[in-house]
Amino acid sequence: MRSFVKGFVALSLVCAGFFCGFNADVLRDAPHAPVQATLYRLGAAPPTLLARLTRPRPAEAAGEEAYLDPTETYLATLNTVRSDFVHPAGGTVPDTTRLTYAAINGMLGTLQDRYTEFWTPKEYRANMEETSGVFAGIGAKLDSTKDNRVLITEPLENSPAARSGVQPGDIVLAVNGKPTLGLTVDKVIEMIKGDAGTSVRLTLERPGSKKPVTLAIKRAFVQSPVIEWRMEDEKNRIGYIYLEMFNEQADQQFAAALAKLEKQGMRALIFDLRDNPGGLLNVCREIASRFIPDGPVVWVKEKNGQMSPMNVLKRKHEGRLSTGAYPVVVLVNGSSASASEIVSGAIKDHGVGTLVGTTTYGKGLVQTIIPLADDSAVKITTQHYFTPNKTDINRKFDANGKQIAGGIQPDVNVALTDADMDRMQMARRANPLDRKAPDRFDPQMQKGLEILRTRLAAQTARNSE
Amino acid sequence: MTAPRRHRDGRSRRSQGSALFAAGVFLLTGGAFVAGYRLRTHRGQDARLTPAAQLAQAASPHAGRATTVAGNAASARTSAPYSQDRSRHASAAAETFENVYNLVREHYVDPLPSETLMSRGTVKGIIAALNDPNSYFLEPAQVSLLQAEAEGRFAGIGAVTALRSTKKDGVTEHKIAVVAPLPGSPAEKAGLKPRDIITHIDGKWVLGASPLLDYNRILKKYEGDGASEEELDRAADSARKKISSGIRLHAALGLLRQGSGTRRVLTVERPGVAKPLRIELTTAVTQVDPVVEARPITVNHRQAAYVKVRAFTEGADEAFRRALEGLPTENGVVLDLRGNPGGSLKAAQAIEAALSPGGTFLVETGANGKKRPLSSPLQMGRKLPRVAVLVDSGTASTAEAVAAALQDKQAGTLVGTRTFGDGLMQTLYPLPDGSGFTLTTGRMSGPRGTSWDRNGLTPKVALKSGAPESAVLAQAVAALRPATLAQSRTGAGSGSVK
Repeated sequence: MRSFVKGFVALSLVCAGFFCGFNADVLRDAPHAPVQATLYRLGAAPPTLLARLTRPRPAEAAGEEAYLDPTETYLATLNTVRSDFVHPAGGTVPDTTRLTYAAINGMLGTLQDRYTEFWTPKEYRANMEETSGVFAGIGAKLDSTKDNRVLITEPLENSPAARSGVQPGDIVLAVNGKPTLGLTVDKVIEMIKGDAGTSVRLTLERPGSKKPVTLAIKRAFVQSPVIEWRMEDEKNRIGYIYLEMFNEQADQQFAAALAKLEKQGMRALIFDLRDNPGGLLNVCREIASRFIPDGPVVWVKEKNGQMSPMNVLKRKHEGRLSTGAYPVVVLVNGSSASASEIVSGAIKDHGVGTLVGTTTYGKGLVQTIIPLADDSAVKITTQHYFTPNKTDINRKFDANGKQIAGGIQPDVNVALTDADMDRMQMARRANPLDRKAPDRFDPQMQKGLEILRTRLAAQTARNSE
Repeated sequence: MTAPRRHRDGRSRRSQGSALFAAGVFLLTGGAFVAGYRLRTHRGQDARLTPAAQLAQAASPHAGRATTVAGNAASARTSAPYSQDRSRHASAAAETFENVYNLVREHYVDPLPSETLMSRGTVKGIIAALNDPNSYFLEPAQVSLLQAEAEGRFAGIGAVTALRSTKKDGVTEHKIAVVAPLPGSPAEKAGLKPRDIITHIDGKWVLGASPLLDYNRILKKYEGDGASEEELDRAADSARKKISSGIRLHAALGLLRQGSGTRRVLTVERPGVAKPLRIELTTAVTQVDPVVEARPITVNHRQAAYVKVRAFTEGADEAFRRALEGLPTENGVVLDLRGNPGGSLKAAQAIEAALSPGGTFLVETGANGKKRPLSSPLQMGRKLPRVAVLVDSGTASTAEAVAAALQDKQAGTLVGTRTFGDGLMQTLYPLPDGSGFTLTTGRMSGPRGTSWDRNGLTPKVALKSGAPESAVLAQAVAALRPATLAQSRTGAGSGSVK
């Protein structure tokens, strides 16, 4: 009996202890929980909400600065914002996904490398479309005339537009019955674009035809052309190839254009890389390989400091270009960047062509795109590259932010002034169907032609000796 | 020989046994206390965890390149008070962040900034996405400045400022408004006034909106043939100037509140004054004492206590209580909150409670519209004075809260001019590395729902601004009112008005 009482008392005590402990924080917190220290205009003693979510650095040395872990800081901040933030204007609080993307952009911003960036799923899709070079549409190039009408300059080969009978010089009067009067070219392109398999109706004014022509065109996937080519100088047989960017179609389109020019008896080539922002590394290696007989196209330096060459791909030695059978001029300017600089740098260092124009942009970095689980992607600078002579072309700045180095110096410096560009623009608008019309006012192109003509003349003189 | 000993031994063993038993019970009780406490605290923490914190738990095992979401989503789904979709969404987002961070660490070619710097960038990104000018990231030096301000040391121009936002053509523009220059500060000496708008600092434009705002407006007009080409060119020119010589809003706020001995030229728009004013001053550290004046006053043979509180810095409540103790409060207290830009909520709460204990001090409307009342702690054995509160356009934030509480509880009468109108609560969240961020966390209103955000409080006894001080004090003393019915029921109220 006595032991029973003792047991009962003990049990009660234990229970009471538990109860008191369980409710101790209630006692401590009192009816009015400590007012969260709040900062008004003057500031206040701050809550330490985030403190518990950060951990000390392993083996933290005394006096070392407190340390933040990015992932934990991200979670703690997100948590705090989602639970405490009130939008003052009654606006909406961005959802977790948007806050996360903002957090990632903020984190990557600290790298101060504009090429390491995060792509939302939408941005990633748009970039993939651009680098694949394939889009859904009718496959026609449009431009505006000098009286601001929208003109078809070229239906692409084998495109729905070409198959349906669209002709260069046609003026687009209406898209699906909607007049295009007063609309910009971009707006009209947007109206014409659509999903593959669907149709669009174009009302066209055709030179020489009294009545407007109406065509129903079924949209399909078309390869967007990144190349423009022509026999620039018929008399001297100087060919011209312009490359817009190094996307997945670029090498194939370049090879096709080159083959056609060679077939037409090309004796010299102008390769235009002006305003080419770059693109895929493997594609620029393929194109550079077509110019260079042997050796490295580019040197790549990894994170661990190891330098390794990317050599010429001999399988790309088609036709006569890599044999040095005809002289080459490469046009470059300050907007020729990245892959354009790899190609022009390789051509310069191997001495297989003459660079004409202005100093190139100066981007000696290689990025890798890594897709993520939620269909977003991150693009990270993973390598530095150097030209075959191991020149670092990446731009460098002094303490005041002034650029002190970078880019590839052309062999022959020729600038393009605003006045030149205005004259070229006028010539283009006056004759939208004549691609060579602006070239007369293009001093870089003219210099290239001059150099090649001199070489051809010297060659002819040598041959006749 | 052996028996008694055995007997004794037995007795001692028994008493030893009860001692052991008692000790065991004691230990068990203590253990149970600890167990209960820990369990409760742990549960409490869990309950406080919002989905994001659950993410922390869900996401942490997924270091590296984990791309599966199923496991995370499942664990979050069972516990999250949010919908399933939302949890899955949120945990995918957390993984995206961690994946990007790990990928960058693994593959980025050059040395990375320190983890602390990358963390600060992360916080900056999140806070900037909120698109709230009152929520911003603070570098360690800026946190120190705020903490010094809380203690009453103001660097820079020595004026408290607030952001005023206006919406025009769907674009929000933010302006820096002076709330109140502090006593003895460069701003006060140079003649800055409440509600002055600071448009330029050292001739540089304060960018409270896109510098292209005007240009876009004129461009739209131009396209609709409502503006000439010259107008468009002028707008483009001014936009270019703003871009090349503008300072961003938070940089501007920083310039105003830091430094000592630096010459600054402010361009100021004053309500009612057509031309912008040019104000020159030299920055200094201004030490603000919360209670600047405490004395008995006699108006028409009536004696009352007069206490002027210029800022609710830390310890302002203590200073106020001490000041009150030496004063004759039987006939009432004139609380002068003119030019008081507010400050610590705790100090405001304590000062209000000293004059009108019990009931609600303030209602805070926080996230999701949750209302949280803060009470005025009851104080035993104190006689309640009658109160008149002097306010003006420099009375703001928690100073407005005190005025609104005394008015709503019918414990005091407001005398003066319309107050500044700042009812937003901002909370400073310090990070362990010394940096931090502020968030807008709520909106204040009085115990009866009186709100003063933007429009301010209009005093019952309205005075013209610029009235002579003797007239102001006379009105204040005349407005001293007896304690209300509610208070006299507590037995504390007394006295009558002549």
